[in-house]
Amino acid sequence: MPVLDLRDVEICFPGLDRPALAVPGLALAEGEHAVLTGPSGAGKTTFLNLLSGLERTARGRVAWDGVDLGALSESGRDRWRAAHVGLVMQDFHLFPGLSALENVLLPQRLRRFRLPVALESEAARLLGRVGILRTEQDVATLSRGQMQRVAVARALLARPGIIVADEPTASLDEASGAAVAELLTGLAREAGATLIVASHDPLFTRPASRGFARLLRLEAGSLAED
Amino acid sequence: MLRFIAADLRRHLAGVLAILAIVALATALGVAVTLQERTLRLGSARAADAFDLVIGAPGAETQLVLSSVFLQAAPLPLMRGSVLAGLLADPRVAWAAPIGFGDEVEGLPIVGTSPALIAGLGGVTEGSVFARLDEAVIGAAVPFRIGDRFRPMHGHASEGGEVHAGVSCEVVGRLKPTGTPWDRAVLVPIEAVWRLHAHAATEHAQKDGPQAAHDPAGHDEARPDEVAHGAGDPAFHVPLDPAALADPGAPGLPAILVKPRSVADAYRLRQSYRGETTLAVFPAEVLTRLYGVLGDARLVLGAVAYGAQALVGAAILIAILVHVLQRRRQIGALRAFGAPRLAVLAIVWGEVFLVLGLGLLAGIGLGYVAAQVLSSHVAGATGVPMPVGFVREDVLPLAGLLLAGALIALVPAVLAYRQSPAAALR
Repeated sequence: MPVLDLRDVEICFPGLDRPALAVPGLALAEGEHAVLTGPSGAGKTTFLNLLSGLERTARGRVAWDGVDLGALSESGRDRWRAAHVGLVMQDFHLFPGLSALENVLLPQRLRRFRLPVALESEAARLLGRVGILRTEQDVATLSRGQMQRVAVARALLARPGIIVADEPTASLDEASGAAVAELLTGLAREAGATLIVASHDPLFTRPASRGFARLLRLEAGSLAED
Repeated sequence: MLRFIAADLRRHLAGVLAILAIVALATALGVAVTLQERTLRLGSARAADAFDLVIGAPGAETQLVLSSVFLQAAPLPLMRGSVLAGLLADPRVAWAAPIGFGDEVEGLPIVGTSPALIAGLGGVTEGSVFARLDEAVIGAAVPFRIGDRFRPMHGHASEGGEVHAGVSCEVVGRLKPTGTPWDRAVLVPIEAVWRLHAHAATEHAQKDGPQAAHDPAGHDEARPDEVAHGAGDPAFHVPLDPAALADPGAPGLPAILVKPRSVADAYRLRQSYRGETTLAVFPAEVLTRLYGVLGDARLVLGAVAYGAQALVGAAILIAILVHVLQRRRQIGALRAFGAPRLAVLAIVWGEVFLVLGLGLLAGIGLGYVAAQVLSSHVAGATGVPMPVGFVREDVLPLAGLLLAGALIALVPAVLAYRQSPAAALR
């Protein structure tokens, strides 16, 4: 049974005669991994935003586990995303001035009055798992590879069923990129989470390293599968 | 959340401090204007408290009060000496004392008067009241000691005054603190002033011709037959003669302080001494009129201060909006990672209000300090103690200012709240 049920999605921007994105249908099973590739400007980020509920479509339906994201309010989608989606982005979006641990905890801390102790130990465990040992270090002083690993730990903290990564290795050197790619797929598998990665990086797209992940190709707004 | 705000403020410390300083200065401007105006009003009202009725020659009421109560010497027209004699004999008068000025010593005004005024101001705390013409009583704040001797300076040093040749006075008593400019005055017997000036006038007349006999305080009517031969010299080493004051033929006087026996007497006295030859005023009444002018000035200054505050508010709002726009990606990311919209609102609002609020509080403190400094300068220059202080009525406008800060902070907060996380991340 698919967890993702996406149908007849069409996104149009004013001034363009062709839709920026037109996907007749996509289904993902629980725990499935998918790599989304395609030239820049093809609509990858828009597509990911739809999947994570950051954007809503006027036409079509995006449903996870039976929850129709289009039917949720803005705050409702924020709540849903906080509970179900872990996001990793190209630019990390860590908050300088806060430590690695505080960065991992920040989204959850802003959601509640008191942070459960269990979350704090889980954050420390995740940081250990991604290889960040000095959890009190200000993230501004970390290397880029380390920053993205902190971001991966943050994405996993709430034990999300869905992990969405947008070009997670694009701004990293090869070695760091490989480490992050391995962490992402490995941790998603450990957690049994559905993983969707938008990337050009052969680390994800090459059949040898892709493993069992499906390869989705987005070109000029339409989706094809290899 | 607080850690997050603190981290952001630390990262932009220079800008935050600049905004804090601007808010504080704008607030201080308004606070200082309000406090200073109140201080001037209270200080001068307290200084005038001791003086019920002042009688002088017809002329400017305000100048009469400024000269007699606040000892701001200026040329005053003179009344005939018989006025004092009449007042001393009047049954409605508890006491009446002449005031003659024009001399000074080391920048302190010398006031010629009678023992009645010293008793009326509360008497002496040290030593005794002057009993001879070459004795003096000093105000509570005068930096002389009992037993000191000084030479009176004719006119004001700043106007090229000169020392009265050979005259020297001995300090014999110190006045009780009055909280008025009289605390900085040196009191001598009025007869001594008369004699000094008659002496100086003839000296000048002999030297430079009659014009030079002009005296800034207007003592030129002093009778030449009172001329003694200077002092330090035995002519001044004589006891006071109470009868000299009651003499209808006494020299002219610029002002007389009168303590009426009752309120009704005060009004009757004022009535009967408002005429062709004299002018009677209640200092409190004249001050009230002055406060009207002061109040208008405060309104103008207040409007300027509020205008400045409004401009500062607008400029700061723009600075904050720019800052929030620069942070759109950060705010969008917070939302994308699952921070609720209200948390975003609270963060932005809290951060802006923290800076504005701290600026306002610092400004209130700064305004208070500025008013203190200004008032102590005024007090130093005039001798009028200037009590700076907040009153309960100040709470409301200050709370209003804080509320305005809270509302201003809401603008960028709502902007951040409404921002779509996807648009911010693009």
